[in-house]
Amino acid sequence: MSTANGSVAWRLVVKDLYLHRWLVVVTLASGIASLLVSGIDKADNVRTGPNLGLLLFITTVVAFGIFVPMTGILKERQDRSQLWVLSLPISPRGYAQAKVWASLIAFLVPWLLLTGIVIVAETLAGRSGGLGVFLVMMTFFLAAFCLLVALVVVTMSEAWAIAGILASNVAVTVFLTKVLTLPGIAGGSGFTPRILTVLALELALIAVALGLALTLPARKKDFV
Amino acid sequence: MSTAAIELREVTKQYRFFTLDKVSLRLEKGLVMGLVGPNGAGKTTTMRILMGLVQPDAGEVEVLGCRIPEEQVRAKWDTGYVGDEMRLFSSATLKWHLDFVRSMFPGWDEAYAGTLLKRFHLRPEQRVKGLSRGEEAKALLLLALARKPKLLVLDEPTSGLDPVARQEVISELMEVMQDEERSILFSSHNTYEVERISDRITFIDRGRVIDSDDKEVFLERWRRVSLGVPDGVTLPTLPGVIDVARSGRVAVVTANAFDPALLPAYEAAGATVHDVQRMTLEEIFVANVMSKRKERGE
Repeated sequence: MSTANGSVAWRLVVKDLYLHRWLVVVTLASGIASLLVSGIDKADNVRTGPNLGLLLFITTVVAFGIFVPMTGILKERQDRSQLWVLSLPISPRGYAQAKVWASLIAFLVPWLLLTGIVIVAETLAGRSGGLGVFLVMMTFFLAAFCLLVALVVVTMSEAWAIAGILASNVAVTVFLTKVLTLPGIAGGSGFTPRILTVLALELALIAVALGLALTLPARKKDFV
Repeated sequence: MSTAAIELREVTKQYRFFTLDKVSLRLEKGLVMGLVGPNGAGKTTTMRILMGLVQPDAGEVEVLGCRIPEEQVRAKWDTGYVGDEMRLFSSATLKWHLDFVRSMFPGWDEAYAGTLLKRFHLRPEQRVKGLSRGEEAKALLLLALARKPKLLVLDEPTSGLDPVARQEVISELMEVMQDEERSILFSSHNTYEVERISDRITFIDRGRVIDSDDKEVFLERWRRVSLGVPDGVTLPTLPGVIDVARSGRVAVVTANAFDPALLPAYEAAGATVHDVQRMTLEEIFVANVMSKRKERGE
């Protein structure tokens, strides 16, 4: 029976990925387009292409990180289709875990592809010095996403989700203006000790967020 | 292990403004139980407890021999649950939902699903967002029925449906009832529907089970007696009588355990028996609720 349970949970993950498919495609297209824009360097003083491309790229990743938990988890509850899913042979705990894994996989598909494209492109162009900073930034977005997923799956509340989105938007601004400009990170070549420290902190944050998201919902007495 | 399809023992669930209070009920395998109660009586909470979606604060719950909520997954393989508030995925088609459920349940009956599609006039390629409320309710029922579950838990499945759609759903349920192995717990405001399909009836009000019995027993033991009562005659208090409504020289007596011996007893007191009427389930339900509330001083 446990295999059957796992099979149902896996089908729920696949179901969510299917329902997210267009969002993933649009995110990938937008991400690639913004990377192309960032490559247009007219050597003007304001570096219009790289700046606009970076802004579009960050907006794409951050927006996708908000859309996935909002449409995949919260909307399913608000639309009452959650009740139908829970009529299938799955426990509320299994359901919540399937939601977390599905959200994570959906986010990781464009995240990995876009990160990979940048790493390959920069390496081929002989500009691999900034990859450490880039990875710090991408891992921050992944951590912010995991925190939002944990908040949504634990609270199942629109008010909390909106508060989380606002907090993560503030955090992105603080991160870009304060953390990425720290000595040892800004203009850092390769993986400096400070970059590695920030990366380790981000990975720890991801582990904590996922741990909470996978365990806390099981403690709830009422799921609908 | 219980042989009942459903068994609740002293189940309590407390919310801020509502308490499901020591609810006990038992549905034997192969029977249909109608759960009847006014809005906010606790029908939906009871059904959600049965499905493991809400955990009781006290009491024991078993569904198809599985302890709930611990063994809910095992129970759910053989239980079809359709709720009034339940919805399908609006952006997906009915075909996608059919494929999704079919892939999960080895016992899925494709031929029966096809029959139900035709009977309910549903088009698999249609997106759920394009379905009317009635069509979506029928689609939900189809998805539950084609799994061939041993137990159906239906929480107001006909709520919000037009009379034709309601008739289609009830007709299908009556056909499902031909399978003597299948049990159904069915809640509804509509006592006419419950009377048509139920073997047993449970009345629930303000979080408490107020009465539960076989439908025929209910209909048999409840009577309304019209009496002519001359001035100066006092009607005796008799066992089985829960209400006496007197207006001038006429009295209407409601009995929840009617005994023909009541009639000579009233006549001996000086009253004249005009009429003895069987009561509809709706009349029984209302009289039952009102008398229990009066008993509790509510």
